Amino acid sequence: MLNNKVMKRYALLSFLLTAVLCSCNNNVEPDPDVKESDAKYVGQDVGNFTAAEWYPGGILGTTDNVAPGSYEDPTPAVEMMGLETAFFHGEAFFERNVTVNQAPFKGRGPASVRKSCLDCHPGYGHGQWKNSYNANGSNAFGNGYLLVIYHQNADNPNDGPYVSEVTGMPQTMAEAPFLPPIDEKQITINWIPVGAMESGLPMKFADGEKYELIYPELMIPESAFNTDPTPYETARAQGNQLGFRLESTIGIPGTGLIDAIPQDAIKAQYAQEAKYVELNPGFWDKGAGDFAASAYYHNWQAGVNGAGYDAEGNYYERDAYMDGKLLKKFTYAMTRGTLQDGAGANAIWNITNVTRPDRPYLYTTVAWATAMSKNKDVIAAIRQEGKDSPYYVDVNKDGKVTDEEISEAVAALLSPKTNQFDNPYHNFEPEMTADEYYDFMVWHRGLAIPRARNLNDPDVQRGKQLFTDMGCASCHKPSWTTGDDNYWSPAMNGRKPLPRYAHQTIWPYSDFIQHRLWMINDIHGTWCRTTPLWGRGLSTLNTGRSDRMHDCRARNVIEAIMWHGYSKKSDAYNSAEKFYNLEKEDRDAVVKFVNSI
Amino acid sequence: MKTLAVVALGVLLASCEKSDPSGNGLTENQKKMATAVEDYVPKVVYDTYKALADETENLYQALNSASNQGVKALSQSDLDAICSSFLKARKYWEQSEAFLYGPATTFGIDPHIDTWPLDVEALATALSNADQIAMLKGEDGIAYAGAKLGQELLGFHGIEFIIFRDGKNRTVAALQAKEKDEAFAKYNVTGEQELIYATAVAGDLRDNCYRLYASWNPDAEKVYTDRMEEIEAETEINGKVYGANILGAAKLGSSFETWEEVLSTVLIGGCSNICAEVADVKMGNAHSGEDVNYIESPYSEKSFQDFIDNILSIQFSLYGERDASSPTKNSILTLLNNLGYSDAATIQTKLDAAIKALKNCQSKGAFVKIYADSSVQTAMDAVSALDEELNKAANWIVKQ
Repeated sequence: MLNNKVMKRYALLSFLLTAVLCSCNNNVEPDPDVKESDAKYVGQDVGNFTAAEWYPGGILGTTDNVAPGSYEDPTPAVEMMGLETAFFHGEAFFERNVTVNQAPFKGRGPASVRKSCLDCHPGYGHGQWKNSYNANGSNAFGNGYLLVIYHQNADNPNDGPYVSEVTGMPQTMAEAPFLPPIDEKQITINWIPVGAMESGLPMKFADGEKYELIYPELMIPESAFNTDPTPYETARAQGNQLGFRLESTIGIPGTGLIDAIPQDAIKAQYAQEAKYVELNPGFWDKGAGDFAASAYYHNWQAGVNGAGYDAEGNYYERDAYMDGKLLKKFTYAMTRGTLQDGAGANAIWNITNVTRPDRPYLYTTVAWATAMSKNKDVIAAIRQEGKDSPYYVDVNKDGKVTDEEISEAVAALLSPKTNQFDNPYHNFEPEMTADEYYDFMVWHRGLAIPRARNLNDPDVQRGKQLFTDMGCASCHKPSWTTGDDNYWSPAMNGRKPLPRYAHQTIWPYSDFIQHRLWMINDIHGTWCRTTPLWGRGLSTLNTGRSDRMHDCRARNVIEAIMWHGYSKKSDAYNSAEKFYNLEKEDRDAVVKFVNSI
Repeated sequence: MKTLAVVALGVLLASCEKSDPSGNGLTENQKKMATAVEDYVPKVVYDTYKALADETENLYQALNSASNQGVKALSQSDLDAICSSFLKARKYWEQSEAFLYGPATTFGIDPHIDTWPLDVEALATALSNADQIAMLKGEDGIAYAGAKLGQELLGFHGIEFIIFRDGKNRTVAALQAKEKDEAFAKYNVTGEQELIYATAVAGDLRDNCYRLYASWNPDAEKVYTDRMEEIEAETEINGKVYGANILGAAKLGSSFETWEEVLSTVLIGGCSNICAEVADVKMGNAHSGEDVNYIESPYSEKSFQDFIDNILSIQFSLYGERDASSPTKNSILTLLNNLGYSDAATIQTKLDAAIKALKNCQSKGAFVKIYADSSVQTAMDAVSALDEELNKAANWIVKQ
């Protein structure tokens, strides 16, 4: 019996046969008199598209499903490897709310960013544009914003080190009796319209069609922080200002395929682009013509928890995989080198603060633990709960529990430095098992990218030509070929297999290199990885919205493109200017192309 | 591989066909598809959501009345009536799950009203909190529940816990006494707090079901749209109510460029998705042993009825009318036949087989008790076989 969701890629398999058998003309011309379904043309050369471009994830990574729910499909590789059961169990961890202590999805807190992955990835997609920050309660759905709080550099208000008083992904939720590190009710987001582009490009096209650009101003007052000290106190002591930015989640389908791109191919792309544009020196040493030392990923887990296996079953001590030279290529800031220790692998631990055997530490800060340990209401509540509370600890074993001992236990047990399974105060059990985590990773690495749409449409073909002519494809690199996909997997997974995507031609439309757009209130760090465009045209169908850019400031494709032209310093300014100068018909064709790939 | 080869041949032949333009930018086949969808949307989707909206209002009123009169004045027949209303509403909801695409997903209504498992420990904490009970009892109790309780305490399964236990209606005596669930051991919670909670959650459930109806039907009656205005609930997606968006397919302003896309959405985005959910997730996770805690409707023990209603949701979608026992003239199944789909009869066979297999499970006991039984695997296979046929049909029809 074939699995249900896998059925949706039937046409994909049939494509293989069709390619061999089809006696029709290879290059099918659409009928201009009627808007046809593209289904008749799938898997065939059409105009300037090759047959393979219908399958952005290659044969092993594409679902033929383009209906609502298509972002949820497993790849053909999942079924071919017999991993469906693990996939569907792993899916449940993504879709369900994590509770405090109710099986099967338990262990949330004591402080957390969200209680459900789906809240931030509605319909498995990108977070949605919002005018408030909501993590608590039921209004959290769709609000995929993460707060970014940092000490602003004097020369660039977008840059500077993260504050240390709250976690890198700040938390606004906490379980009783604790207070959240940040009180989200005091957070404000104001959306400011752009009056004029810094570059001088007018806010309407030559034919009179207008476009509107807005950007967010985030503000978190000092009173919102339940930490000791507050980030404001530290900033005052250091003589700098705090900066606040929003970052939205990105879509997750197809990410396993990115893990399979060979590093040598990405290196060649760096070398090629470095001839024409300044690249982040933290990643590319132009003089040496090689990656900078900081471009390589070092597992965030120390010791044995940073060890792993490759897909062939070879064991590696921490950082021994690829001789410690695994390139970082995941997240906007490119902080992660492998999907198996990437954003999702991290998020299932730190967003909800669910521990597992290889993550025995909490995602918290000392400043929050300190504040909670000094809070009289917290101490009183723990005292009232008595020995049912893990924080009610007779530290000196004298038969009495004093407020000071409760305070000491709180400070220790909430600290990110305390092993939750092995400490003198209270030893908790891992909240997610190794088997559950493995299933979750099968699901994560097993999400398919939906096939392309409407490639038979002459407008889409025209859009492709323009996209290339304008230079967009220089950074939104259309295609890559995966290698052996001898991926790294944490030792906790043992040698259990994950979906594997060897030797596939894939079409993600990204160079996986960081560039700068120099937008007002830009992304923290200024450098941002080129976003893969594949599958994004199905966002409205899957999620109801199609917001783009790192903070959802672009509510459609036109706005996203024009943000590339906000500043003449932008790496993409010339392309954006060319787009600005297109006739409406051509602009629409580019948009249609971007929504079809 | 035999099946795959047949499908591949279909693709091969279909790709050699020429479309038949016939004015208005639609082929004759596209016009037929439009006709089927024009029946499906009002007669299946609108009608189901309206029934759901009305029954959840009844449920809310019954719980509100019980809460107002006080648990001590509650009779067993009152409680039984509440349970009956719940099961009716639950049936309509499960029978809507073949069209979870659109507002149910976009507005997050599905997880809002149908998340499981219920977080019983958190519920115990909430119901023992006098301030929280006061908020739930207050004038804005429904809004408070909707915004503050969180999905793991909202929706059907929260109410289910209050009014059912061990597969039976709760007794009034149990509701009047101290709550005995072990999560409540250290609290003194009785039916008084439980009814206050259930009432507020039922109000929120009602509001969300009103929203489903008002977000689909552009002609939703005033009682529903007024409530949406009152609670300031958005009902449009990209400037349109969803039913108008679908029925405006192939026209400027609709997100559906072709009627084939609509059919694909109904068959794959709707019907196939709920097949996969039932077979692989709702039954699969428990039956495979991956997680035996992952069981829906454990208090009323109506999981199999939920699954059967899910498949009936597919039946009604294919038959063109809510509660239809055979395909109507303009139904999608009739359309498939009329367009010459040779496997239309197989869909019917697999549909019947899936329902039969689930009923067989139901006759053996509650899912929470027999999830490991071999009949469950048989039912999972039968639902997957139906799914296979739905996908084949969808892949065929989009090429016509």
